Amino acid sequence: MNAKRLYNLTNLEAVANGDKDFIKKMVTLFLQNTPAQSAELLKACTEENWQQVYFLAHKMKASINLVDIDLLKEEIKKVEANAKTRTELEMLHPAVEHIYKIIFNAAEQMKEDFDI
Amino acid sequence: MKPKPINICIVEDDLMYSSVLVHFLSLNPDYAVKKFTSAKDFLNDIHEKPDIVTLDYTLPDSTGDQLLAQIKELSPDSKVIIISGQEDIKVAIDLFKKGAHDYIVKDADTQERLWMAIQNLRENIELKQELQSLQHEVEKKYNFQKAVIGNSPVMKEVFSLMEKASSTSITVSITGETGTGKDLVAKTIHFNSERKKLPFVAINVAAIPRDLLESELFGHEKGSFTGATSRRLGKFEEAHKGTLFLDEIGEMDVNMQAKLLRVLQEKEITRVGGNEIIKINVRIIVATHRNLPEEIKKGKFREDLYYRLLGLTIQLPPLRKRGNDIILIAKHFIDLFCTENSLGKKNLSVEAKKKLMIYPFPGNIRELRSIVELACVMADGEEIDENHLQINHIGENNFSTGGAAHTLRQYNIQLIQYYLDNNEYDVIEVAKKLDIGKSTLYRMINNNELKLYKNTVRQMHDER
Repeated sequence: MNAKRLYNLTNLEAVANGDKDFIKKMVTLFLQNTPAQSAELLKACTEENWQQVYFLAHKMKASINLVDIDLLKEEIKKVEANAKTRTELEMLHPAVEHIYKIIFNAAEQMKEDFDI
Repeated sequence: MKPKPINICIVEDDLMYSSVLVHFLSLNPDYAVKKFTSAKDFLNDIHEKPDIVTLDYTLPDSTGDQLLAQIKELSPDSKVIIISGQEDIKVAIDLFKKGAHDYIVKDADTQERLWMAIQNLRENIELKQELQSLQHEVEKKYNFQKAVIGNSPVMKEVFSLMEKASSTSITVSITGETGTGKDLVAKTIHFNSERKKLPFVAINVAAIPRDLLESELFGHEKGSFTGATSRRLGKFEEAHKGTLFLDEIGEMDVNMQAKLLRVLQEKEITRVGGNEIIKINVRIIVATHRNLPEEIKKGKFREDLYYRLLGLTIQLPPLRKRGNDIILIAKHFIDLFCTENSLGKKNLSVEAKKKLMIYPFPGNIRELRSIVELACVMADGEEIDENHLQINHIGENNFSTGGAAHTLRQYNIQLIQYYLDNNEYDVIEVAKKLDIGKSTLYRMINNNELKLYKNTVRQMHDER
């Protein structure tokens, strides 16, 4: 566990109230769903399906906040808002690529940390 | 008694988020939490009538406002908390208008805010559960079979009328001597009627000072009279959609009767000192121990009001006319008193039963209750005998006092006259109760030793 962690489970640990199984369950759920959603987000963005970009960004926002990926918290909100209002569309592709990459890296860190 | 758990449904398609909410809320052992990932799954389970529903505003198969409308239709008592990924004031206001109880945005504080929102709703839900439990208790208490005891023919007729009264909203007038249970009959009718979940408000007209009765019935506005420091709702408004029981209506002042008549005709009231006309929907039950037609003749009761109130009349018989009901009711009060006071089971002896059966009970059921409760205290063992029944009716002294010594015959005449006075001059009934021949009584009447009218009337008659 050398590299700086992209995620922070302090909030989840507070909710867990000492239940380590719960934390592992949450990490597993993140790994099962969020990387796949980020791949779908990238695909929707490439296809310029802005409605789908909005929907996926909206759904991913909660998971990103739960595992506290600080680097993405503002970015995912901006993607969601711009896709919804169809504004600043030119920023969406690089932002979504960045989100995909960070999610992928965070997921790798989690697998390492939790031996999954 | 352990309170019922608060049933919470979490409708959220994000598995991580829903798991967090379930885990967090389940920390409270008083919460029973279930999660659903789609509107369809949740609607399949809505017959369980959850206390609280947390609703994700964006679901794959529905939107928050669509599902909110369905919840309000299928489970109107469920409280709905919307949890949305976006802070949108316009949407929030719209959802509040449609019946949502809270609107929480998904952020770092969501769990805490949800916890507080549920805590606030919980107090409300627990009060409601308590109210429902009390209502259930009251309904059980005023169940026809349990509330009014008796199986004498005269009471079977009363039960039949009570059932008719309960199945409609007709005005009911209950007459009967003091202590015959007029208020119990009124409550039983209400708690077996369609209005049973709505208020039963009783007012004893005789107990309210004449000057205050109008304000008691119709309410008053602030400053309408000295002492009216704030607006107060009257009994008519308190009883809205329920039942208003006007006990001792015969004692109402004639001027007040005119106001009551207007209210009953117009179905609206105006608070004292106010101008606002307030529509009322109240079922009226009245009771009196007076003979209202007689009161009308004397000019003490308005004839128009009498006919307005008459409705279905239920005449409650005096206890002395109810035969074996006396023993049934006595047993009921004995069991109740012994249970409440941990006295063990007690029974009436044969002689005690005989003593109760021949006593005329001028105070009716109220008097019977006092007599048997005292007997329960006085009896050391399981049996209550006739000596434990201390009958102290004021009328009894009528034939034992007077200063001068009487002959046995004079005592007999006074005793028989007393029974005639208290048994509506029913010669056959008195002969049966005193175990003497009815021809003996008729002979004494012919000899002017006994009178078939009240002594007071006799005195007036004699004075003329």
